[in-house]
Amino acid sequence: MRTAPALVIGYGSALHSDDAAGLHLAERIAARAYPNVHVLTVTQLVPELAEPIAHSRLVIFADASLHPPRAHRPWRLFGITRLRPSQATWSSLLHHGDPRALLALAQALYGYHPPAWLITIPGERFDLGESLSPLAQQALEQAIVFVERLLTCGGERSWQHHFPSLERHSDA
Amino acid sequence: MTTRRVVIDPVTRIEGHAKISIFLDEDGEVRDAQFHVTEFRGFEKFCEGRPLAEMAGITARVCGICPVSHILASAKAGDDIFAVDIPPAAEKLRRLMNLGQIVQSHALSFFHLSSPDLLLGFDSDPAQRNLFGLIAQHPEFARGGIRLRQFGQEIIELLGGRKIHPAWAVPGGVREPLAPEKRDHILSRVPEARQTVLDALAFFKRYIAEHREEVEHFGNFPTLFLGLVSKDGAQWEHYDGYLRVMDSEGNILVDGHDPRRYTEIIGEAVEPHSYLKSPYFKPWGYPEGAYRVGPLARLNLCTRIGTPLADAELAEFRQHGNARGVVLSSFMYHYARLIEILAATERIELLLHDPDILSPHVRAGGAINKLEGVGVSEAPRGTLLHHYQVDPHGMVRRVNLIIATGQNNLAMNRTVKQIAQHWIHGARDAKIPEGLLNRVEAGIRAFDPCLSCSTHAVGQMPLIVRLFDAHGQLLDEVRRD
Repeated sequence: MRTAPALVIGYGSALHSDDAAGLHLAERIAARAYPNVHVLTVTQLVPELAEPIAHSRLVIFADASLHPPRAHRPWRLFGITRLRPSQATWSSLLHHGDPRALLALAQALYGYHPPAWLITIPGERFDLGESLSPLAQQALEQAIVFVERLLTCGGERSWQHHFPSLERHSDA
Repeated sequence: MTTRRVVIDPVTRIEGHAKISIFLDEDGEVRDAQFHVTEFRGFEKFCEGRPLAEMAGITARVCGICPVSHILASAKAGDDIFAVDIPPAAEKLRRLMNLGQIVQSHALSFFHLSSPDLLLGFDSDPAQRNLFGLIAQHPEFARGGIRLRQFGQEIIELLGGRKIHPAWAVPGGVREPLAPEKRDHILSRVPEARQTVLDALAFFKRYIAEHREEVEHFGNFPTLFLGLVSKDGAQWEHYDGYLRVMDSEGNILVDGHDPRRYTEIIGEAVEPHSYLKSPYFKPWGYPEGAYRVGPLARLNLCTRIGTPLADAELAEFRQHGNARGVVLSSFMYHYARLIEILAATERIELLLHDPDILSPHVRAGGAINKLEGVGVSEAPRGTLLHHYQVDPHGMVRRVNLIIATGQNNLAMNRTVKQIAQHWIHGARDAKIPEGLLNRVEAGIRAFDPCLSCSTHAVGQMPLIVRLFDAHGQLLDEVRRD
């Protein structure tokens, strides 16, 4: 039986400079053409993403962040957050959702949510523009290495087997 | 007169914020309301100096919900500058994509954002009054809405590819013809989509019969209506046609108006409290020329829809209007959205059976033959205009965009004011009335404004209501994270 794919979802506005950092990450991963890894680039998170999420073995969300790198670990510029489903993060006024809400939606609609991580890339500029700031670019390069490790570690081995070590890196 | 102020403030971390201010007089009665939106800030300037050929792709990336609307309006402005008539198949494919866009966007608005208000009640716990509460209590309804949205999204992806902002429509036509297997796949999904919206219509008609208070007080006031109607018989239109303006009594003030001459009838005001432009009907001046666009306007403006199921629903819809059948309550935007989804399923089926739809001839050659062009389409939220000026080499020199959320800006202010006036009386105890926030949110949701055109990097968007006294002192604050 074919193993469920890993899913990378990069999201953000391609026209707001560093806000596109998650899109850049996803596109770079897509260019690697890893087997059994699906990549989506979207401007915002919308409800129908719950279906591919529910049919994945692992989901990695990638987004930009206003928060600067943590001062206590200057060697890592990007953020890592182990995501738990949360229904409370769904907005009924806006057209876009939150990754935790999408996990909850996958659970509510399809009875399953996979392990999920949010990779956040700090930004400095969010005005109209199509290039990344030096900080975002540097953090992006680091983050890509980490995501590649997540996607490739273990090969056929159970992905969950590697969680204990990765869990310690989570910012939340 | 001194006033106190209630502020409802969904705050994003960057510039994409919306804020509601409700102004009270000394007696605690609502005097005025303003809905502030930030979007498209500086975007027009950003486009200057770009090649015309890039405009569809650039403008489409502004919004993740209605990129197709920008693609089509931009491509049509390019058609105008090229001075070309596009091939029949190209026009039909563009129409097909726009119908997919209307389905997916309206489905998101009705099923995912607004249905929790309707099915769970405005006074239910906000923690439960959301999509998850809906799934828990009405799982089939919620799943049906998600599949309906998928149907619309699938049409867009089958035509334009998986990438969310395809520059598929280009000046002169579209890049790719439709393959037979894709046509057959879309056709196979039409019956389920249609049944879902028919079920939703049946629900909504029962709802409004039992909830007259919402219908009467959610933005129920006279305004003008503006939108496209077809060139032949002023039927419901979403892609092309003429601009029509109607007053609340059903009198046609402007008809057969070429969208390229939009500046003759649409003025653009700028208010100091908002970055959003407030377009108005120029002959009536500002703000008397406030008008509404979008589903409610389109159904009021058209003579008929042109498909049997939707026309039957339109006739029933108009029974909720005034003596001339003009429906004024903004709450009925929801109803109009459902009828438009039904119309879209019928039009999609008709287009897919059209002999032109599989034609390989989908793009006319062209070059810069004019230095100015206007493109118009009906986005899900209303009429969208792209106006470009270019130099002889096709580099864009000036851009003006008129978007639906801006055109509804004045009506949204009046809706918030009407809701607040109905539910706030004598707020002398300096407390924000329970349930006001829910209803103001719901009143805005009726218009389905697009607040997503700004950045949205990781972070919460709390909803804050603040009450100030006449001297600007904060009296009360309600926050929803």
